[in-house]
Amino acid sequence: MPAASAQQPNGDTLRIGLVLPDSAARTPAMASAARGVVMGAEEAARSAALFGRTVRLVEGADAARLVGEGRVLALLGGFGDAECRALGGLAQARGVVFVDLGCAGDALRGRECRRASFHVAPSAAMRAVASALAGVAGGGVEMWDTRLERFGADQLNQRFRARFGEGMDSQGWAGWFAVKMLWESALRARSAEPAALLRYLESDAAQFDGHKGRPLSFRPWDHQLRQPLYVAAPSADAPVEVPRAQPGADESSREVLDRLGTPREKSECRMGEARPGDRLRGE
Amino acid sequence: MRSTALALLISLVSSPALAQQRAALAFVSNEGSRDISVIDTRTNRVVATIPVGVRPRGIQASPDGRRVYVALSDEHPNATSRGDAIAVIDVATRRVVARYAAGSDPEQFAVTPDGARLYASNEDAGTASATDLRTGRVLATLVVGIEPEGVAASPDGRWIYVTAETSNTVSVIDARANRVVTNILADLRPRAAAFSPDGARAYVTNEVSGTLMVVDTRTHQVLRSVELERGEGKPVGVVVSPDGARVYVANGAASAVTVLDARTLRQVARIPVGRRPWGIALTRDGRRLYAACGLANEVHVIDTATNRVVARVPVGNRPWGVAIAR
Repeated sequence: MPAASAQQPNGDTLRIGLVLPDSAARTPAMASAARGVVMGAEEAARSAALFGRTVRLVEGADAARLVGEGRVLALLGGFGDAECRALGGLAQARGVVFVDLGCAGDALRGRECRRASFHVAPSAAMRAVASALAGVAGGGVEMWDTRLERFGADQLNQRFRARFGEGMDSQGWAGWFAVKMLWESALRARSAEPAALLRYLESDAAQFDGHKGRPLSFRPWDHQLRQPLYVAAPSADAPVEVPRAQPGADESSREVLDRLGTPREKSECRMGEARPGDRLRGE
Repeated sequence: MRSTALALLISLVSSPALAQQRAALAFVSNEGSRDISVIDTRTNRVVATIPVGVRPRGIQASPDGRRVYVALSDEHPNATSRGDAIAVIDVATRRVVARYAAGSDPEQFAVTPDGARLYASNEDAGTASATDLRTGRVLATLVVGIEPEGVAASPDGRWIYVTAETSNTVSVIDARANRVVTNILADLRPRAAAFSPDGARAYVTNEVSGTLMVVDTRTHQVLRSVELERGEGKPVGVVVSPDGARVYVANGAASAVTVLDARTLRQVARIPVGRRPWGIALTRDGRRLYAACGLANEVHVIDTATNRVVARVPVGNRPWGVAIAR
């Protein structure tokens, strides 16, 4: 892990930590996510340079060390509910933000939710609704598909392929999007402090473009990313996007996307009930 | 009888002197059929189709109206080939007479008001290139945001605004020095930019936010941003009337053109058009607005006095942009 440069003031640098084992011990999903995070960090660094800012990515298996010595303001990872629980707890205790890239557990967004955790990965509840909505037999529910073209999806797919020699899959998209989202939040919140990031992410203003054609945002009641999903049958030419707007219905993107997942009134998350001692750095 | 025929014959012979008297022509880039439809604005009929062989997208007329420039892309977005170019169409003969290199995957561009230079966005390279139109040489390649798209030149030629869809930025190029002097943070997926005739304001559409953003060009600061179509319209094309009083925005997803009061940014009219209007252009007198409706394979013509569609012109496949030449 590179040593942090003491000369870099926090306000100009967003330090992001990717929590993953060494390359040899990574599952395919982890490897994909890592590629997405790397490209996301490269692109965020390019965008940041336009504003005289820096984005730094540090990787390691030891999340506590990333927060301590690595001085990261956000942790990315989570490839199983137990790991998301642990990383969410650590982030909450140490006052940083955790972005879940790969956990589907509904409880993580419900009874066990934490204010410091934000879920880019869709929940099991979202996946179930997407599957039933889609009307495609035998299709897997995905965040992304290499065959997507609209809204600049072709550009993103081409950039990823040019960078890594293979197509972008769901985990690749999640990693790429998580970094883009964090960098843009820091820029728009005019702060790379975790407390300011968190406040921005919970605000109505926080909207992101993920090349899916709709503004993406986090639900304030459970910090789940609202996003279209794609159901691809092995035999089909192109994936089916869900949810689709009802023809003629006058719905906002938020209303359409909230058809996937747990509505506010059914949420068991009590975000406001942070434990004593739970504070975010910068508050 | 005889003299009438002779007069007709003379009027058909193209010459620079007579070119001034001809009706304005609307040139439409058809991304799907890889050709350019030429519409006579008096009759609103297609009078010529110019094949270009590859995907044409951005299209602009030279200030003197004698040439039309069109951005061409091949099928390989991340590689530069002979297919990637800015083609020059001679308005009098309606033929492609020259090609300029403009980096890989040129999509949108602007011609400076003096007609001397062309600034293009290179979508996959994240750059904007300045080309000298007299020599065809690339004068400068400048780093802008990721996935650059819309390009606009200020009326005095001093500033070039380049949007970038992934970075959500507008890069401001000082055309005198060919340097990026600042970057403006936009809403989500900024697409097109247009300056007011007095140069004091620039308007930027943001496709995914569904907003129109107004920039003070003295400070390059965002003054405000207004939602169109409740944020769901996916706006792309934007033009300003010659008197500066009206701003027209093409909302692709809403299949409608929004007319705004330039001073208050209040909507004064909403004009339903064909499916997925993207590129729009006004005639020089501001009396007609031409909208390329990509999924209708038509150009819809709006009378700006009544804000009504007065003609629907079938063109090629997937019309993308439109430019008016004298």
